Amino acid sequence: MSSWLKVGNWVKVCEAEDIPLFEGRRTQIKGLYVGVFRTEDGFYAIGDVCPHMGGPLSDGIITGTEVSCPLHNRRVVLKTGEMKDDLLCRVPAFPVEVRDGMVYVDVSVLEEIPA
Amino acid sequence: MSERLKVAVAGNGIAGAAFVDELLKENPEEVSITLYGAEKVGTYNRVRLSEYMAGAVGLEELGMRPKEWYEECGIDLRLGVRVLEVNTEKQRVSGSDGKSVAYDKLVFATGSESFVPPIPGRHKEGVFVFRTVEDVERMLEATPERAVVVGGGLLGLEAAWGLVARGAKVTVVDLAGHLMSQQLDKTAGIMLRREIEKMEVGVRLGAFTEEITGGGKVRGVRLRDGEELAADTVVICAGIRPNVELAQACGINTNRGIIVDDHLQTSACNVYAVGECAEHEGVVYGLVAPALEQVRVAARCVLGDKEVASYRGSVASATLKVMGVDVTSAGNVYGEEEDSEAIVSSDPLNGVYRKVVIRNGKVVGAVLLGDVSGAPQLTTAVRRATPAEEVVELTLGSATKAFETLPLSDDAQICDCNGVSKEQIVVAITKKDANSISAVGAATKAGTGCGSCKPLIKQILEEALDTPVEEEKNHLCKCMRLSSEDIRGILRERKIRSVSALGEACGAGKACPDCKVGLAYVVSEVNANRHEEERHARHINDRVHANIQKDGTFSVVPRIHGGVTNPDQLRRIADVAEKYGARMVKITGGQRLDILGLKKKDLPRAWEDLGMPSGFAYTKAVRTVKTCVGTDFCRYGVGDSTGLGIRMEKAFENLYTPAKVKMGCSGCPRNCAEATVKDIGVVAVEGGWKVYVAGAAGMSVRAADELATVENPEEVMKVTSAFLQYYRENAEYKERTYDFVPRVGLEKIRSVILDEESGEPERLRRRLREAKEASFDPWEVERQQNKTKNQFAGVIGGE
Ligand code: SRM
Ligand SMILES: Cc1cc2nc3c(=O)[nH]c(=O)nc-3n(C[C@H](O)[C@H](O)[C@H](O)COP(=O)(O)OP(=O)(O)OC[C@H]3O[C@@H](n4cnc5c(N)ncnc54)[C@H](O)[C@@H]3O)c2cc1C
Ligand code: SF4
Ligand code: FES
Repeated sequence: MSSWLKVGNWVKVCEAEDIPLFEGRRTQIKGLYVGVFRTEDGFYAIGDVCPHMGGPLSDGIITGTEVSCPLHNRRVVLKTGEMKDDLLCRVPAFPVEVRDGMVYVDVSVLEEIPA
Repeated sequence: MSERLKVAVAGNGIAGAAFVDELLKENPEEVSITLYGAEKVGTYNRVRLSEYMAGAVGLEELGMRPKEWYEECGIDLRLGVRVLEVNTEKQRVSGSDGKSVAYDKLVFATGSESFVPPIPGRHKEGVFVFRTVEDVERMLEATPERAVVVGGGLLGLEAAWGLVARGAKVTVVDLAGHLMSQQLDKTAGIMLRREIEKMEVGVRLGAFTEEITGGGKVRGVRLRDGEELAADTVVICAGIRPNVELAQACGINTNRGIIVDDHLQTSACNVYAVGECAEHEGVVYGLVAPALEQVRVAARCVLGDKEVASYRGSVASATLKVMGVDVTSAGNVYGEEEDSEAIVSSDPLNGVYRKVVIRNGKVVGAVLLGDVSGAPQLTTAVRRATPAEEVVELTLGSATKAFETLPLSDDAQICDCNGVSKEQIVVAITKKDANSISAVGAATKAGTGCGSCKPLIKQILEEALDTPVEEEKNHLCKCMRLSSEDIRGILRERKIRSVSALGEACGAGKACPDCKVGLAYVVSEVNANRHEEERHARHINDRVHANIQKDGTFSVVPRIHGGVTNPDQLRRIADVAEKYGARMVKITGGQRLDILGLKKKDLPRAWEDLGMPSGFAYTKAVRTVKTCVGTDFCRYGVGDSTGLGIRMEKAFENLYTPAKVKMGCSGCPRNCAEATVKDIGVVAVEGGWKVYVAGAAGMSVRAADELATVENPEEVMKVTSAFLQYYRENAEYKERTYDFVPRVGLEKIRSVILDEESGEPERLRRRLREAKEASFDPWEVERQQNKTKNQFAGVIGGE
C-alpha cells in the first residue's frame, strides 16, 4: 500500500520531469524554501536553506542520497535532513510522493515546528 | 660447464613465481626451469585481486609478466597446464599437456583453493568463490547488484570492497562474533565493523548460513535465525584448503598441508614445498610474507646450500588496508591465556585501537586499527619477543607522534606483504641505486603488495639519500583509493566518456561528493572535450556559468581580452548592471569588470544583452591574461605585450584546467603586468621574450621559475601551449602550477616541453588544439539551448 494514503498535508510542487536526475530545485511552500532532489533512490525534499550560512542546498552536488552545500560543502543527508559534519544542526525533511508524474511533498511536519 | 640443474616448479602463484625469481637471482646459468601454472594467465599479485575486481587496476598492474620475459630468462613456462602425476623415484613430472619432464629438484607451490562449506544451494548459478582472476571475471560478468559475502575474514571483506566498488549492495555474514577473527581481537573487530558499516555494507555476525535460496539461480541467503537476505550473487569466502592431492597421490606425507622440514623439504627426496600448500611444524600460513620467507630458504636448499639455510617458522603478521581502514595484526592478538596481559590504547570516537599482548614480560602479539604508525617496530618486537617496557611508549604514544622518529632496526620488516626488511631496502638504495619508491619496489618487491608500507619506504629512502623523496600518489577518489593516474587509465582503457559511466566501471564518485567535480575535469581532459557533459557532476558555478555569492546570487565577469575594452562594451556592461539590478560593479584584480549580485534566472538574458564571452571567473579554467600597454604606448616597451597577451588569451580561452590558470604579459622587465607572479608569465626583453611559469601571489607568494628565453611571439605561443597542455594532463585536480612545477621539477618539465626534436612538444600542442577545437563559450551556447530542464530557474512550482 502506498504511503500516499496516509494522512498528511500533501502539496503538489512540480512535475517529476522538472527535476533532472541528480539535481535539485528550489520550491516555496507556505513561505518556506524547500529543496526537492532527485536521486537514484527517488525524490527527497528538505528545507533548502543551509544551517551554516544560508546556502541554497538545491544548488548543491548530489551523491547517493546526500547533498553538499554549494557554498562551503557541508553535507546534508537527504533522508533525514541531518548535517553530516554537525549532528546538532539539521533542516526539516519532508515525505515525498510521485503520483501521475507529479511530485507531492507532505509538509505536515511544519505544523510541529514552533513559529 | 657441468649440466644445468633441472628444476620443475608446480604452481605459478606468488610462491612459485618468487621461487623462480630467487633461483635466477642466484645463478641463472646454473639452472634450467620448467614452470607449470594451472591458471591460464601468468603470475599475478593475488593480494591485489580486489583492486582488479574494483576496476582500479588492470592485469598488467597486477604484475603480469610478458611471455617474452620467460623466453629471455630461458624458462619453459607451461601456462594452463596442470601437473597431474609425479614419479618421485624416476624423478619425472607429467602435466595435462601430455608431456613428461625430468627433474633434479621438484618444488610444490600449488597454493590452495577456496574452501566451500557444504551449504545447501552452493551449486546454484550466482554463487562464486574469490581466489583467481577467473573467479573475478566470472563474477563481474554476472553484474552483481545485491550480494551476500559468506565469511567476514580478510578475504570476505576484500570481496565486499570490490563488489561495493562495482556498485553492488553488500552484506557480509560471518559465523564468528566479530570480523576478521583470525587477525583481530573482539574490540578491534567491533570497531572495524563500525567503519565498514559507514560504507553502507551490511554486517551479520554470529550468523550461520543455512541455505542459499532460489531456483536454478540465487535469490538470497537464509540465516539460521530465519532472516532472509535477498541477493543475486553469493560469494563464499570461508577459508582455504591447501592443494595437497597431487603430493598425496605420489606418496608424500601430508596433513592439512604438505609436510616440510626446516629446509622446506618434503618426505620425498629432492622434492620441496613452499607457500600456502606447505605445512611447517603444524602450521599452514595463509599470507604472502611467510611464503616468501620460505621461498628464500628453499631456493638456497635447492641450489645445495642446505647448511646455511634453514626455516624456523614465521610470525603471521600483516599490515593491510581493509575497505580503507588501516589494520596491522601480528602474532597472538587475543592474549586470552591466564598469564597474558595487554597494553591498550583505544579511541573509539576516531576509530583508533592499539594493543600489544605480553606474556612473561615479552611482546607476543599486536593489533593496530585506524592508526598503524609504528607497525614495523611493533611487528619486529613480536618477532623478537622484545621486553614489554620497550614498546609501552610506542603503543600508547601514538598521539604524541614522538615515536615517529624512533629508529627502525635493520631487520625490522617493512613490507609485510612481501617480507622485506629495512636492511634489504637500504641495500637496494645504496648498492643498486634505487632512488624512488617504485625503484625500491622493482629491486626488492617492497611496497608492491597492498602498498601500505610506502610511507615507510619513503622515510627510509629519505634517511638514506638525505633528500626529500617524491610524494606517493594521492587519491582523487578517496573512497575507492584511485589516483588521477588510475582514473585516466580506466577512462582510456575502457573508452569511458562520462562521470556516470566511470562510476559504474569502478565506483569512483559514487560514495561521496568530494571527487565528482575533479572526475568531471579528468573525464573532459582525457576525451579532449568530446565527453558527455553531466551537469550533476559539476559545481553550481559550472552548471550556470557564474560564481555563486554568499547570498545565493551570482556574479558575472565577461571576458575582456588582455584587459583592453572599449566604450561600447562598457556601455553594455553598465546597461546590464542597471537592468538586472546588480548590487555592485567592480574593477577586478584581473583587469576586467565584475557585475555582482545577479539572480540565477536572469543570467541567460544578461549574457544575451552583454554579447560578450564568458570570462570563466567561476571555475578552474584559463582565467585572464593581464597585460601592460607595451610598445604601442609606453616609452620603455620593447615588445608588443598587449598584442601578445590578447593573442594568448584568445588561444587559450574556454579551456578547463586542473586549477585556475592566470597569465600575464609585460612589455619590458619593469613588468607592470606582474607576469612573474602568474601561472604563466611572459616578459619582453631586448631581442626576445622570457617565459616564466609557476608564479603565485595569492594564498602564498612565489616568484615564477624562468622556463625559457625565446626569440619571438611565435615561439612564446609554442612554449606556453606545450606547458599548458602538459599541466592539463599531469597535474592533480586543484593543484596550481605553483605546486605542480616544484613537485614534478622544472628540469623534468623543460626536458619534455622544450625538446622539439623528440616530437613531444608538438604532440602536446596537437592535443591542446584538439581540446580547443571542441571547446566553446558556455554563455553563447546556453543562450541558445539549456542543457537540463529549468536549469536557471530560481524557484519552481510550490504554493
Ligand atoms: C573578483 C576578484 C576580486 C576582485 O574584486 O578583484 C576575485 C574574487 C574571488 N577570488 Fe580571487 N579574485 C580576483 C582576483 C584574484 C587575484 C589577482 C589576479 O588574478 O591577478 C588573485 C591572486 C593571484 C592568484 O590567483 O594566485 C586571487 C587569488 C584567489 C585565491 C587564492 C588562490 C591561490 O591558490 O593562492 C582564491 C581561492 C582559491 O582559488 O581557492 C580566490 C578565490 C576567489 C573567489 C572566486 C572565491 C570564490 O570561490 O567565491 C572570489 C569570487 C568572489 C565573488 O563572489 O565573485 N582568489 N584572486 C578578482 C577576479 C579576477 C578576474 O577578473 O577574474
Ligand atoms: C583476494 C585475496 C587477497 C589477499 N590479500 C592478502 C594480503 O593482503 N596479504 C597477504 O599476506 N596475503 C593475502 N592473501 C593471501 C595470499 O594471496 C596467499 O597467501 C598467496 O597467494 C599464497 O601463494 P601461493 O603461491 O602459495 O599460492 P597461490 O597464489 O594459490 O598459487 C598457487 C598456484 O598454483 C596453481 N596450481 C595448483 N595446483 C597445480 C598443479 N597441480 N599444477 C600446476 N599448477 C597448479 C594454482 O592454479 C595457482 O595459480 C590474499 C588472497 C586473496 C585470494
Ligand atoms: S580576497 Fe577573499 S574575500 Fe576578497 S574576493 Fe578574494 S576570496 Fe573573496
Ligand atoms: S552555507 Fe552551506 S556550507 Fe556554508
